[in-house]
Amino acid sequence: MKGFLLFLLLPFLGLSQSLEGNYLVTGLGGQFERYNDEFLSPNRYSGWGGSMVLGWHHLNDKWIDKLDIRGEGGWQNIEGLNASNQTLSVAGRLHYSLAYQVYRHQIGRLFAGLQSANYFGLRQHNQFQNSAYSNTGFFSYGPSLSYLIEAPKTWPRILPRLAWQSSAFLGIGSALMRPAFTRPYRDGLPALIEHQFLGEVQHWEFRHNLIYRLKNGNQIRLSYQWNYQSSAIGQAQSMGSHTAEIQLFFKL
Amino acid sequence: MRKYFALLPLVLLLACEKGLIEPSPANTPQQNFEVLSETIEARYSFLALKKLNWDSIHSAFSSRISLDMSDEALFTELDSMLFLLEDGHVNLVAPFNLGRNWNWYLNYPDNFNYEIVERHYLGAKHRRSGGFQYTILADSIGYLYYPSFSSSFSEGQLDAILSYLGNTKGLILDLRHNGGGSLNNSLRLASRFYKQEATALLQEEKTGPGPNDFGNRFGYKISPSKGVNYTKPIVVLTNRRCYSATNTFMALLKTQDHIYQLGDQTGGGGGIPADFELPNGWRFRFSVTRSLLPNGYDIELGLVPDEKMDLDPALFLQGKDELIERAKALLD
Repeated sequence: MKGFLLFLLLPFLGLSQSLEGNYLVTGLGGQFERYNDEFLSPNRYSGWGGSMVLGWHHLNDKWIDKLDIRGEGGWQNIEGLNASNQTLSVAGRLHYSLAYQVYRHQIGRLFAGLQSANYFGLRQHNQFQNSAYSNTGFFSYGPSLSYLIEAPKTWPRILPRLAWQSSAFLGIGSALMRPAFTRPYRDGLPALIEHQFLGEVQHWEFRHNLIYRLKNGNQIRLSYQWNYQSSAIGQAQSMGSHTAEIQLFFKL
Repeated sequence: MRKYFALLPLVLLLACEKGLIEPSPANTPQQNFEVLSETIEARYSFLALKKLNWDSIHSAFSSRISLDMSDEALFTELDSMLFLLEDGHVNLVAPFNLGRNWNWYLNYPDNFNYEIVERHYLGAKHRRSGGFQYTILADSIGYLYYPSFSSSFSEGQLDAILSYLGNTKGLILDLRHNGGGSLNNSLRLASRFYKQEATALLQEEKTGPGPNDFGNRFGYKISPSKGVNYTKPIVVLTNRRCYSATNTFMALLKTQDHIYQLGDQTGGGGGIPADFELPNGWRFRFSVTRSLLPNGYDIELGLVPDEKMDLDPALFLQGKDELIERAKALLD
């Protein structure tokens, strides 16, 4: 318990302040997910869950890059139907983005670069657990755009410590993993594995962060993410999720 | 540029997937019926084997579906349609009922009474391990009863059981009333009775909407286990309740010439089930694969014994299980 309290207090200790540097990223949050998976059901499901993230973040005067791994899980029910049907979903995301500063104006900086956004999730229905399960994998790549706004140092009180960062990702290609026509797996792997370009698959992500810089250079971030993935290959599926997280950035 | 830069946060915040994800279909009796019928027609694996004309079945039942029918009435019609598949792996699940066709054993004699087995053959001091019940009968014949492939076991337990039975001159493996369970348990147990490696079973999955669209053939190649094996004569007792994983297990043993099947035909259930959902939330389950013996026989129809034999219920009163008695005679 003492260790956990120390972990929570750690970001508040120290004296310096700057967004630049290397950071260890940790975070916990909640998630709302909505999906339709034609392998499991014709119905649209939605529900709540949780998420946790661990990663690394780097920013200097020209580059921004970030690597993070996120675990997600939750339960979903049929939308608009009073039924006990429920799915359990667990998923992992692995992201890496690297972007170069292409524009700077006073307090704002715009970065453009590339991102690899990878998702793999499993869903299981609460009935016939031995036969009602599905999988989805999107291993996507594409351009990303990110901008960062830092409050001017002349602003009063805490405002100079605030910053805002948003980023957008548009997948232009994905290695897709899905069940085949009737079976989710083959030889221990998802039954359908193929590469598709934008059109047959969509993978978009938006991230927004309200950043509070601490005196020691650590950061507390209130993060919101919207993820959307869709594929029409094999058994079609679409899913979107809204995730809100409290993240702690520890300066390395 | 500065103006657009300022607008960027607003644009990125306006993100919602609700309009992008297809909503649930209308929850009407007709729509529920159509989802069920279309899914079975496209994905169910035995329409051709069972010579079912799904178009005519669809037409016949479609006329019975009306917009104002009750849930009970809809369930009756949908369940009646699925009943025609004559498949124990097919179910319709509503909050108030489980639709099923269990005629694969209800229409046939049981040929089994556990009370007789326990009192007159296993005895009070029989051994139990990993879901197995076993003993050595008079005349040095082993008796191994396994009531469910859902009962898991370790390799060490199998070693211990088969070591204990190792000095017998033959083994009765009683699978009656074993309704299936884990396919993995079937494969592991079968390897304990193998003399030589063989590809015993070919599995194919439904890969398209046509009745004969099968592919991704996979051969179950079984090798003798590296643990303790039993390769002396074995008589396997089966009845119509031997279903699914038990049916598959019996199919795996068909390649071994020291194994003899006695009793009634197994119940079948050669397809691995998948399940799906109706717009009203009811779930239904159905077979999406088929399993073939090397000679092409589809084990969905059950496995015919080497020797067909039914029990005389009157002999139960005398504490006699004719199938066990016949197996003892064969092994003696």
